Amino acid sequence: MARFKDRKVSAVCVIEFKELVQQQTFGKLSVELIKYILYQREQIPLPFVQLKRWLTDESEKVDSAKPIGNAESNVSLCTNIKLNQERKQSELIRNKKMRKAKRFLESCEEVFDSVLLTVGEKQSDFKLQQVLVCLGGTPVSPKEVYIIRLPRQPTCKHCIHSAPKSFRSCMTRLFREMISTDGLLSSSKLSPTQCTIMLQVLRKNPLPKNMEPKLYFKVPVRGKHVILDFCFSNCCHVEMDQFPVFSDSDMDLGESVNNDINIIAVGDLESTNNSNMDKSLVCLVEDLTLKIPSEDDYIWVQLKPTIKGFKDSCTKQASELNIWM
Amino acid sequence: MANVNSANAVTLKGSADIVSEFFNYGINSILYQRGIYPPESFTRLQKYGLTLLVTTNDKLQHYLSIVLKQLREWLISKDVHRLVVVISNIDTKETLERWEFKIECDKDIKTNSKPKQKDIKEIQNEIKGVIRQITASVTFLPLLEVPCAFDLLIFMGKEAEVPNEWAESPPYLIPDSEEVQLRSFSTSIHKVDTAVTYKNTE
Repeated sequence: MARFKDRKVSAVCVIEFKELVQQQTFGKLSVELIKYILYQREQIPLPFVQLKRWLTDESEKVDSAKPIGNAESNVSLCTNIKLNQERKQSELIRNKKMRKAKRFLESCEEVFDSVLLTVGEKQSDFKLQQVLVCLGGTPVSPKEVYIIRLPRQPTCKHCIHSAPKSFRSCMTRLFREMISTDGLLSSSKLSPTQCTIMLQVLRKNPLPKNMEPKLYFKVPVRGKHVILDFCFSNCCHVEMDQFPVFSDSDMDLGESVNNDINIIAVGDLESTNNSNMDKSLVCLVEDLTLKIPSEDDYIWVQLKPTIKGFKDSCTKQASELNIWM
Repeated sequence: MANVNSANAVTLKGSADIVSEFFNYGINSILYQRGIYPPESFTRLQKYGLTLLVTTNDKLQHYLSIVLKQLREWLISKDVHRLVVVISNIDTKETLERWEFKIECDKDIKTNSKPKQKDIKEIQNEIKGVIRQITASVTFLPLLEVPCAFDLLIFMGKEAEVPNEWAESPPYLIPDSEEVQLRSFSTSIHKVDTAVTYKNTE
């Protein structure tokens, strides 16, 4: 078991993508991961999609339900009363479960919308970096923490213009890796508890109402940690980091200022004193350098509402060995 | 009834009961998750601390009952090595998916042997993990966009007694396939490993 800054890391799963994957896709994958974690860690009795379907089916049953029996018939009156009482009892239990399920699904939809907002069209506004799924009473002291790390988008001109990998194939890849990674998710029992989603995003004012900034929040030390690392394979088109590189040739760089100028050749920034260097190029270098955010530019936000799991208390128990008919 | 003397003692027959019961719920889960039968033909039950879906189709229940009763006998006689759920295209008969359950048995154990010690709750917890993974597998398995049928294959030892109702069958392997290993569980007498193989669509 690895230790990193006193945090107990139970498992790490690295999912590497060789092709371009858009930020929106990572957002959707994060949402699918949250759904997966909630079911696998026993916070909901059925997988998310099946739970939605169950709620729809039960709501239809409630709408079409009729009272039992005919009160005018004295012969079956006692039976009808008893049946109605039993039915009311089971209805109460079922309705309670339906209310919990409805509340749970509504909370999830709000949270998922927020996650997808950070990777939406104006993705540059948020630059979602990490998603934390904290299972436990509070996000500061949870029982389990799932850290989903998103990669920075590649800046290589060749890579960013390549055909992006589809969401379906990314999801296939992701869940195959996760299920194949032994011991990734704990198999220990975990009662339904609070689930808090934290996002690490670029500072932005104002934040949407359901994103509460937590300026002093840090990834909690307590609880089991599972890290899910999305990353891109090393790009073969550039050798350096994401910083732009420039040629010291005397060719006119005016046009390239308006285009992608990631690569030309390795240059020395001190040669800006060279009178041949385009002044606009110098400004662009400084501008680009400033645009790359540092760690301090990111903050943690807590998504509202918190999600509360629930148990299945109304489905009947299977009888012992009822397969022997 | 399972021959279990206490909550922690597992006999050969008790282990066979546990494993057969798992296959009942496991096969039902696969049939539901992969849409082999319509979802409205399933009902919900609580088992292993999970909400599981089991068929209400009489014919399917009858079929599974026959197979699993026989399986139980073979588990006790220690003749069975593997159970495979084969999913194939109804029209072309092409095998699209194989759920393979490898079964290992303690060779030394007999029906009158001293029970082995393993907490039944621990066994149920392991089974729960396997079934949850079966449920989760739909996220990466290719969509089955054609009407499908299923077959159950049981791989036996050569010396095993096979009733007349059972026929020999090819293995229905999938060329150009991908395999994913899922979790396993053990009763301390029988160990069951699960894997799913599917047609490579990429």
